[in-house]
Amino acid sequence: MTDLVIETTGLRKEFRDRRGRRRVAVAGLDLAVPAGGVHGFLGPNGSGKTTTIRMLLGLARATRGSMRLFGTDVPRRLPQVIDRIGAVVEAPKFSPNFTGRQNLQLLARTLGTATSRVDAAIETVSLTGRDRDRYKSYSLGMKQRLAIAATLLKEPSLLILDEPTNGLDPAGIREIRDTIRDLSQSGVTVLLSSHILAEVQQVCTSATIIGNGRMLASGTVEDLLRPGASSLRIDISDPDAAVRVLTAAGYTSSRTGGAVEVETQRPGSDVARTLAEHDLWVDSLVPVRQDLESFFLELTADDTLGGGPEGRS
Amino acid sequence: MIGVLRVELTRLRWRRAVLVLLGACVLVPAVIFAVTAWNTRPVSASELAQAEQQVERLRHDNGYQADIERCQRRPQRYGVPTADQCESQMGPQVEWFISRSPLDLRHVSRGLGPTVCVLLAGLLMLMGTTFAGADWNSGSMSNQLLFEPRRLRVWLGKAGAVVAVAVVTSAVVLAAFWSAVLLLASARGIDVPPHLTPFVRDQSLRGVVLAGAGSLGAFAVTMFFRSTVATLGILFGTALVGSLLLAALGVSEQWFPHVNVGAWLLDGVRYYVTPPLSCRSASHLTRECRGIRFVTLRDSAAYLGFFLAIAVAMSLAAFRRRDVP
Repeated sequence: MTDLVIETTGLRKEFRDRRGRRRVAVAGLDLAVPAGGVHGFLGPNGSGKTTTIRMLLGLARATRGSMRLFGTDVPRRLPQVIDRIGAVVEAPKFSPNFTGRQNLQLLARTLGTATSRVDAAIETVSLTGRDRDRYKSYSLGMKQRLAIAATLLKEPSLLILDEPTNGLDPAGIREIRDTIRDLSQSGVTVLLSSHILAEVQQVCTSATIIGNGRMLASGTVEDLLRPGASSLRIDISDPDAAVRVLTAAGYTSSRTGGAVEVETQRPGSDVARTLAEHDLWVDSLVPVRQDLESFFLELTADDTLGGGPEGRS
Repeated sequence: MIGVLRVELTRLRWRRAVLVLLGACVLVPAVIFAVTAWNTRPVSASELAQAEQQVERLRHDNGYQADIERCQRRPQRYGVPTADQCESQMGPQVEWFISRSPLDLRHVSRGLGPTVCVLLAGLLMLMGTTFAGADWNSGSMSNQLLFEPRRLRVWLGKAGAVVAVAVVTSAVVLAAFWSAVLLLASARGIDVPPHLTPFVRDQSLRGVVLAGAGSLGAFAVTMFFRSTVATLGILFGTALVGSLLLAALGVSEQWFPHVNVGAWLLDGVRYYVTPPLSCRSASHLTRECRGIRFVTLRDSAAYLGFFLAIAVAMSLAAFRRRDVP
């Protein structure tokens, strides 16, 4: 059995709005994040990702359900494991009038760690030279890097990053992704919450997709994409004839532009042979791999149309 | 716990607003002392000579001479027993032209001393508020809790830092203020009444307690509301209109905030009420019939302590239970 670094069972979070009406942010979420690798935590805005992370970190109280980090019940025993967890929740939050270094020094002193680790963390995130500037003068990218530096003060075994590339320019995004990969390769388990599908697809080894506060799918990124890896795109001189032949042969096919798209689990050579038997010669045949985006949109179609979890109980 | 306290003391020390307020804690009493020293300075020889000249000028004034002559004709009309006393009793005196009073230690101990205590408490309450409010306004509280999730410790660490700074600051400033006042009195040859030193010592100690408790209360309220603005609204509302509102509602003066703060610093204060109807027929005016009531030191301690306990309890409960943004 794989060791789980994060485990939630039936996790639920309800809020009361200003009129006293109940709003459900997380509705019985079962989350299991195995040790090692980068685990994507994917969901549309308002699907409950940040609320789940905040509950795991003791910043919000769960209405119901249980949570475990490294097999330890949280939030009751969170102090026992907090030193092993680095986290950036939503936007980085530091004291604006302190320098980046001062902010890190205060956190290092809270941990009781050596101040020399502050230097190392600043160097790791390439903030040397700007560390004595006030935090409020930092660009968004620098703020994100400082937040990651703060997580490194602990030498964490688990890193929880909530939308870490939000608002960053392409160079900043690449930098953060490289940092995540480096940390993962050094043995740190990373939970990467994001609504940017390409990011999850590029960086993550496994993922959980949630919508309306519920888990919709979970597994390795490869497994999640497999169900959709069964269509073929065929370029052919007479696409209408090809569609007729394939339909008669029992395939599900349709014309898309000047090409034909076939949904099948059978190999492409079978499809090409069927067409060749009717004197229809394939110019090119490409397996269409469904990307995470289409899979995600398929899964969360109801959520995005339904307007979120409000009012459910 | 000590580690958290140290971190919070450092955080407090690094906040500019806190440093400005601590500077004000030194500056305001220093200005009060300087103004008091200036306003009670001894009369100089030149000032005395100038006053004497003015007296002489007035004595040669025609109107004055006419007044004296009228007095000498009918002294009783001017309230003077005999005609030869008219000049001495109606004549201009040097004191008329020297309006300054000498340093009055009783006035300082019952007026300026408590004022300094209240101002210090007010400034240190602002310090407690701004310190807690900055963490909430910047959102850095959540980041701090990611490093120390034991919320009780965090609350106590921050509160401990605020109270420690408030107590030390007010103790040092009050000691310096009174040392300066007593040195000034000694330099001017003014005797210090024997009862004054223990009175001032006790008042200063209570001033230190007021500053510490006030800063704790303001910190607790800010931690509850998570907003500096809300706390400042409550503080200023209480200070400016609290007593007026209570008076408008017909609440007895003994429940007024400023009366209780005064009673705490002055070891009890008296206030007045309308005497009961039964007193109208009383032949002897008792204290009750004169409408005099007292708020004792113990009363004020209970009153102020009650509100502090409520603020601390609510703040702690809310901080431990509520979600942190």
